[in-house]
Amino acid sequence: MKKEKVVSNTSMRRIKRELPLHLMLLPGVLLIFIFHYIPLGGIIIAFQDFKVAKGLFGNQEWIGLGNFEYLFKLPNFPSVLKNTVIIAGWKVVLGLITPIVVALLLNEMINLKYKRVIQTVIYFPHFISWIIMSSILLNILSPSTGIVNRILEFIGVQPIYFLGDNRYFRGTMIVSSIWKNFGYGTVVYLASITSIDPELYDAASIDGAGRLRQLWHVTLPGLRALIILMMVLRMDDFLNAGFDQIYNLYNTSVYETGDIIDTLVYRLGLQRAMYGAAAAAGLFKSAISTVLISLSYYIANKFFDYKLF
Amino acid sequence: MKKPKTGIRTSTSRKVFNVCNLIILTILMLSCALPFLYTLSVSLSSKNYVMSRKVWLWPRGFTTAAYQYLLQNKAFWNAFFMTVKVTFFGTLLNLVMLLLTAYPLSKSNDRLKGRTLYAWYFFVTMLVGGGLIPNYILINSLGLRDNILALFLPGGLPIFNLVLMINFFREIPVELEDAARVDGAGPIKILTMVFAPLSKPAIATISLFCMVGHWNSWFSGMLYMRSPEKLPLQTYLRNVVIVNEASQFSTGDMALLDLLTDDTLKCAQIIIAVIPILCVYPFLQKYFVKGIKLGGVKG
Repeated sequence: MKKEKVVSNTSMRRIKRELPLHLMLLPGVLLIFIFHYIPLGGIIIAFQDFKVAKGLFGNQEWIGLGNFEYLFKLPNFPSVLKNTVIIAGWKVVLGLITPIVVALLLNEMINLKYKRVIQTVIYFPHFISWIIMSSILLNILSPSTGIVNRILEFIGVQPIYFLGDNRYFRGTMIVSSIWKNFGYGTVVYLASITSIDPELYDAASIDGAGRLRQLWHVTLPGLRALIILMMVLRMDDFLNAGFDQIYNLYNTSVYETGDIIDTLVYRLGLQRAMYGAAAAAGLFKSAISTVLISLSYYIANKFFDYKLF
Repeated sequence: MKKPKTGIRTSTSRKVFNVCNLIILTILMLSCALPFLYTLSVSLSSKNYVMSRKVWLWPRGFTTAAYQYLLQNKAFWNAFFMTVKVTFFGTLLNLVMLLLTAYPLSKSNDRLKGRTLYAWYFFVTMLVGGGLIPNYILINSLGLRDNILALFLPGGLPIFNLVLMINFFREIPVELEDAARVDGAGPIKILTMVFAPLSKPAIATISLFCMVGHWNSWFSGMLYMRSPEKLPLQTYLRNVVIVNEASQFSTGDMALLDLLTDDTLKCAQIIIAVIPILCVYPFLQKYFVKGIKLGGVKG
C-alpha cells in the first residue's frame, strides 16, 4: 500500500518534471501532423473519383482501382516508366562513381593551393537552383545561338539540339545532373580520405607498394564504409529522375524520352485537374520508393550499423 | 595498371599521370565555372555583339544597360524581396522548430517518457509522404493560396536537419545540463543558455542549408501564388527566362533599350539571383564538412 503510493508519486513527479519537454515537442508534432500526416491520409484520393468541391475527406465517390486502371492504360505510361527508370538509374550509378573518381584524382594533386581552388569551384553548382541551371543550360545549349553549338560548329560538328532531340535528351539530363552535383559528393569523399591514418600509407610504402597499390589497398578500403553507405542510402532515388530539372528543361517534342512519373503527375493533376489519376500515379511511385528506402535503411542498419536516430 | 619496376620509371609515369590529372581536373573545373562566366559576360555585353554571336568569355561592347534597366524593373525587385522575406522568416521558423524539437528528442529514454514514439513519429515522414496532389489540395482548403505562409510553413520542420541537430545535441555532456538544472534552470533556459551557444557550428551549418533551400525554392511559388507581385524570385525567373511569358520591354527609356536584348536581360537576372548564394558560399564551404560529419555519415 505504502509502496504503491510512492510509485504513483514518483510517476506523477516524473510527468510533472517532463511536462515542459512534451510541451516543447507540441509545435513540431502539430506542424508535422497538419502538413504531413493529413496529406498522407489524403492518398485515399487515389481510390476516389475526387471532386474538389467536396473537400479532402468529404463524401467522395469510391472507384476502387479505377484510377490505376486509367493510369496503366495511358498510351504513354510504359514510356514514362521506362524513362523514369533509365534516367534515375544512370543518375544513381554515375552519381556514385563520378565523385569517388574525382576525389581520388584530386587527392593525387601535388599543388595544394590549386587543389583547393578546384574544390571550391566544382562544389559551387550544387547550391544553384535548377531554375537558374536550366536557364543557363537553355542558353548555352541552344542550337542556334548557344555557345556549346558554336564550339561544335568551330570544330566542324553539326549543331546538336540537346534539349529538343529524343536521341540526346536523356543523356543531356543525366550528364547535366551529374555535372551539377558531382562536386558536392567529391567534397564528402575528400573529407573522408583526409581522415585516413597517414601511417597506413607509410606502412604500405615501406612494404613496396606504389601509388596505385596504395590506392587499392589503403584509400579505397578506407572509403569502403562511406561508399557502401552512399550506395544504400541512394536506393530510394531509383524512381527520382529529377522533377526540378526535367520539368524546367523538357518540351513536348521530347516527351517520348523525357517524360517521367513526376512530370506526369503534375500534368495530370494540376494542369488537367485529374486529381484521382494523378494521386494514383504519385502513390504508385511512392509505394515503390517507400519499400526501397525502408529496405535500404534496414540494410544500412543491419550490416553497417548505421543509425538515423 | 602496370606496376612500375624502377625508381626512374616511377617518376616518369608519375609525371605523365600528374600532367594528365592536372588537365582532367582543370577541364572539370572549367566546365563548372565557364557557364557562369559566359552568362556574366553576356549580361555585360551590348545587343549587337550578342545578336551576332560574338560574345565568348569576355564582354563585348561593355555596357551595364541590362542592370540599369533591371533596377527600374518593379516586378523583378518585388520577386527579389518576396524571396528575401521567405528566406528570412522561413529560416527563422526552421531554427525555432528545430531547436525546440531536437532538444527533447536528444534526451535519453529515461529522461523523456515516450521519446522513441516521438522519434518514430518524425522519422516516418522520411519514409512515406502524401505526395503532390494531397498536399496541393490541403494548402488550398486551408485557404493558404496566395499567402506567403504557403511558401515556408509546410516545410517548417525539416526532418533531415532535425536528425543533424539531434546528433549534435547528443554530444553535449549531460553533466552540463544537470549543473544548470541544479542552478534552477528550466528546459527552455537550458536550451537557450547551454545548448544553443554550444551548438553554434551546427546551427550555422543548418541555417545555411535552410537559407539556400528557401532561396532556391520555386515549386511552391508556382503552385500556390496567384498574384504576380507575390511570386518568389525563382518562380518569377522561371516565368520570364524559361517560359518566356511576356516580352520584358514594356517601358523604359529608349537609350537603354537600344543596348538590350532579351538575352542580356535574362543573363543579368540570373547573375543577380546567384549573387546572394555567392555571398554565403565561403561559409557554406567552411561549415559543410562539419555538417556532414555530424550528419550521420558516422556510425
